[in-house]
Amino acid sequence: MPFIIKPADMLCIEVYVRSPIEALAATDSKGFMKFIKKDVVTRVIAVATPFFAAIDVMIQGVILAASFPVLLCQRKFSAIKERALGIIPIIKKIFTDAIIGLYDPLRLLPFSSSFALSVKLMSHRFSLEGGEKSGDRTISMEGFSSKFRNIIFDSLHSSAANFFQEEETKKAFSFTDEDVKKTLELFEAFRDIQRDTSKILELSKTKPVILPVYLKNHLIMAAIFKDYLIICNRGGKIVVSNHDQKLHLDPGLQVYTMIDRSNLEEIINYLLSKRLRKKRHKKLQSIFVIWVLIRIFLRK
Amino acid sequence: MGIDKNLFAKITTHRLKGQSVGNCSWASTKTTFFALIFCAMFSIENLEKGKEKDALKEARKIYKAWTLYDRESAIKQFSTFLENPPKGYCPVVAQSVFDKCKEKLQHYKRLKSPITIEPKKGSASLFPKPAFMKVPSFAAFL
Repeated sequence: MPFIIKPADMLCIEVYVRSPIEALAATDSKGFMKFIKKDVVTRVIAVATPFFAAIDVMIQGVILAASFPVLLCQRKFSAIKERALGIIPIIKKIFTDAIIGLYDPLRLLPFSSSFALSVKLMSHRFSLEGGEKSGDRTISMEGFSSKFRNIIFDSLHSSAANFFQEEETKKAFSFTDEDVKKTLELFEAFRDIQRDTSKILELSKTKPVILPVYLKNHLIMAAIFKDYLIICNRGGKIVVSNHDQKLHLDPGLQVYTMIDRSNLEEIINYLLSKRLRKKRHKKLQSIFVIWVLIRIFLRK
Repeated sequence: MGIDKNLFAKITTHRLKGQSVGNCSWASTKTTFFALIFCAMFSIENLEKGKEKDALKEARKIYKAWTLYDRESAIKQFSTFLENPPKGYCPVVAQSVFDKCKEKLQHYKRLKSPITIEPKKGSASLFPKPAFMKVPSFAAFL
């Protein structure tokens, strides 16, 4: 049956129906999403999102290929590199979209993703445990995919902004409007998570830089600001080890000062290396996502 | 290449209660705000080195007042979902979560911070808005 997609239909498709894995799990025999009105053509969209992203990559690739000889003649190697690197985020997006659908059980729940995320934000705020049942599905109160880091940050940032802008707060802590503005500016550090050591080194001279550090089944955060390294950990006493070096981290804030700032590069590289643990796992996920995509196309 | 303890010196550990459930992504991020308040004190007040412990104590007061404020405003805002549930919201789950959180709030209030700030109405939302997916316009030609 050919699908006729009207632009108006597409405006009201929630994010939680866009991934292929969800289309597999939640479509009925005719290919329509079970939880969404049938006049919204979700089946095509579920398959089309990575498809359009792939077209994006191809277009970028064609542009790069076309401009390559010209740039090469002009010896603009940095421009070539820049354009080539420009494609990487788009490729990542395809896989992220697919992996979110695959990885995140929220998207298979019979209610909207914004509701599921709001429930998660509440349960995390109040340290709830266990799960909540809705029909035959359960939403777990614990755990939050790192893909939703921005949602956690947005919620906390809004809350902090509300708090600092309250007249009562300003009075209680003798804050001026300028203090509040500066403090809220520093909180923006979360929006600018860097992975490049040289950039971290540069930025941290003037403002705090945040590094999420992934340990086995646990996340801690590091903040680097001027000569300070602050480790934020709430997961009980843990030991971070690398070869024979060990750091014992109690729950709370560990404030360190760099003996020599030139050592900072080594520290940052060490903290960034903690991300590597996830890479192999992600490769396996990507292979699985490709397999799921193939299955969907074969099903058609 | 490992991290060497000789690269940096520990100034202090400011102990906080460890998380009791699997919410490290939340708890660590929230604690980072504590660190940022500490950084803000250095940035705004140009504190000298050696004053870190005092700065941490001050930052803790602000942090504690904020965390209580945060929970209270979350309860307030979440209650609006119960009164007027948006499309795709499950009232049973919302009510159950709300009741549990409200009970916990009483516990947090008992451990209350010395300074309590009452959340006012009309603050920015702490919860994500219903998300909509944008599809490229050329999809219409398929």
